[in-house]
Amino acid sequence: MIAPYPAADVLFEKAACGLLLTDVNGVILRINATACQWLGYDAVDVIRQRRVQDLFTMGGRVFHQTHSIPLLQVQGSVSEIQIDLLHRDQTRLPMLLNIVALQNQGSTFHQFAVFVVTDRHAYERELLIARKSAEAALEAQLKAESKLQEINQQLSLVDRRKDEFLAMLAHELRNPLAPISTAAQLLSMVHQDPVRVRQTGAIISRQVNHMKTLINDLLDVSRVNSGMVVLEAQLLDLEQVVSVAVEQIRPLIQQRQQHMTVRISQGLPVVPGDHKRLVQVFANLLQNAAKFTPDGGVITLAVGYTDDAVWVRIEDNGIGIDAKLLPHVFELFTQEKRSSDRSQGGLGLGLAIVKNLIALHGGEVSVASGGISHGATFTVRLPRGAPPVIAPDESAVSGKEGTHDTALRILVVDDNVDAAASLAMVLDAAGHQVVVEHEPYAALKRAQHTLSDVYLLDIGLPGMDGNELARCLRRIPTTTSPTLIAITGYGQTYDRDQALSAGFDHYFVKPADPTKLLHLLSTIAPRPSEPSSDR
Amino acid sequence: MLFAHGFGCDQAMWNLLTPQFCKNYRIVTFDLVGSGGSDLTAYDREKYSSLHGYADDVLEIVEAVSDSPVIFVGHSVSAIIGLLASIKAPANFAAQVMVGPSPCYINDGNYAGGFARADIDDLLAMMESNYLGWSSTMAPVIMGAADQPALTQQLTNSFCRTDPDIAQHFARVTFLADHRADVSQSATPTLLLQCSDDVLAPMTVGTFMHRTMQNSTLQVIENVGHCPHLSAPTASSKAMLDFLVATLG
Repeated sequence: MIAPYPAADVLFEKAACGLLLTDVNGVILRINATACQWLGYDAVDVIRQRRVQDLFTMGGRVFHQTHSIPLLQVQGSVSEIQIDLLHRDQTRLPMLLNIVALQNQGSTFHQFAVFVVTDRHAYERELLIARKSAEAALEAQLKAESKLQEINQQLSLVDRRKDEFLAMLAHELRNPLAPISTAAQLLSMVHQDPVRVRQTGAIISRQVNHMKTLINDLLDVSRVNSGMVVLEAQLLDLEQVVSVAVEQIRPLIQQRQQHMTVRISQGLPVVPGDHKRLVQVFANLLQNAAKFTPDGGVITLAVGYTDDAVWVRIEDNGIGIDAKLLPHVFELFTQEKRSSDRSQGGLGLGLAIVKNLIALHGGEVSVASGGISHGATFTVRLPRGAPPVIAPDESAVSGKEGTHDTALRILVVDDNVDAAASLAMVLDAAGHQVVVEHEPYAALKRAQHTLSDVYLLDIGLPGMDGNELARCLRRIPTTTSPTLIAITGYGQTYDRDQALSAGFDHYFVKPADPTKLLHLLSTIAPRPSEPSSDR
Repeated sequence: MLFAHGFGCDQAMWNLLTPQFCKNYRIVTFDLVGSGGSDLTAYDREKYSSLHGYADDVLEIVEAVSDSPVIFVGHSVSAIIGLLASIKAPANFAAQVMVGPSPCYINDGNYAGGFARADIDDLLAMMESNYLGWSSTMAPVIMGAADQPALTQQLTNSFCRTDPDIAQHFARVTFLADHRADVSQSATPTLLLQCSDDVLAPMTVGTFMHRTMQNSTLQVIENVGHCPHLSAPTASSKAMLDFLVATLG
């Protein structure tokens, strides 16, 4: 038998949830005891006295009107609305709300069921916070990924530029080989005719010089990039520096019939810097301006200063720079696509070198251009103030002074027969006594028997490298040390340091400039004859 | 006639109203980008960070659907979107009907928008907590279906379902906008449909609009709430038809 259960009105009043009935406008028509108790009202204070909207916060009213009411009107019910109801004392009660629209005798009513959800509310707030932080983490991850993608794109762009650069480099290096090769054949045909020989020699010199310039640029950019350049800083008058650069470029400007104006501000302060390097920078920028300005164009160089810097501005009215290329002009491997005319030569490394050299000086270089055919302006700013680094230039590693026009006994060691022979010819022509060896052990054996004043050694030798050979030569007991000169294709600072610590006095990078080499030899005194160890 | 729905809904909200007009006018309804059945991937937070983004869309739609000036009907935030569009291209608009418009919800000096900033923050927070269980909140719960208007199941399912993140962004843009300065710039003949009891757009806002707009007619609809086209469709359509006859002949 089932025990008697509460009547329907008791079930309504004491229901486990708050129950309200309103008309379509929200006027409260009935409210149960549970709701009254939760909200702190007596039923009589509420029924026909208040609208359900009055129990909402302002935000809740808007939400009710914009979300719940349209849903009620269209689909007849809403469920699980999270909303705060206001207690009579105006404290907020987190509630869950279900509303259903009821039709009765042609009128529409809204029936509300409300549940207190304080704990659930707190829990959901935690969930919300957790979701927010998860979203933030996801967003950060997406950002990182897109950044990575961007970097990858940049890398592949750099990679492509590098490939393009290598192709161009190979092309540029091969170009001079054709005239050299032709000239070599020519020499064998015209060796009877001194005029033609001289002309042919001049062709070879010119082409070799051109190649040397290209390779020096390459070496320079790699040395500057890997931080191996040490500035020889002193206080400089930039007017003097730019005038040296202008003099270097003047032949090009004259050849192209361009007009150059130089404007120097009065009272220019001195700037700490490396004279040779800054001349290189400004010559580079001027050459660039001349290259990319048509014949008869105008180039303006201005030097001025501010409180903390001296600036040099080089402006041309040439072909200008495309806005897309503009941010990349100082980057390595950015080709000078600005001109199809590559007759001026060069590898397009100049601006990368300029930027790095200026950065070494603590300065900055910037570029502006109005776009294609609107010219370009490069501005270099160098800080006034203490010199950044002072160190001896590598060329200062030299021992002996004085000039002697005396013949020296020289041993040339190089496994490249042509290189050795041509070097020997140059030295011979200068009046020295030259002996050539192509193999290090033979050279060492000879040195033990016959001492020379100077040893000109290649580094890359078979069996024993030049450094090792130098060490062995240094071990031969003599009263006076001979002069050891390295002549090598390895041009990095590391190689140079290796050579100097192996006992070399001087270091030349191939192809060695004969003039410089002869000049160096002229400063070396022949050793007094020693008793020969020959038996 | 081009109908633009208000915040939190979609074009289905016009279903009770448009039948009154389809005899004399070609009816075009659409979902704002980010709402209803629009392509959510087209929701560009940059573009829709102000109502001007939506106004540009309206102008594109007008260009696409009509060679002659249109009658624009905008509910709530779309009334303001239409206002901005009519200022940008007045020649494209013959008349506009603004249902429950408010150019600024937040009180400012003498201007009574109806809300303090804290109220709006409260609303945005509420929306956030309700979107946590969005699907259960807004998914159709058919109770007593026999009594309900004969709306299709499909319509019921799609009604008012919006991507929560977009809805929150849209809410922020809508409720924090201030276009009071634009109100006087539109010369298009305008009907202002003001509800007699509307929390969102109180009477003070309706009278401000009427006072400020050059060429406006204010019509108050006896209605509690913000959606007279849903809860008082007959009175709403009658006011609109009267206005259109009086204005356009």
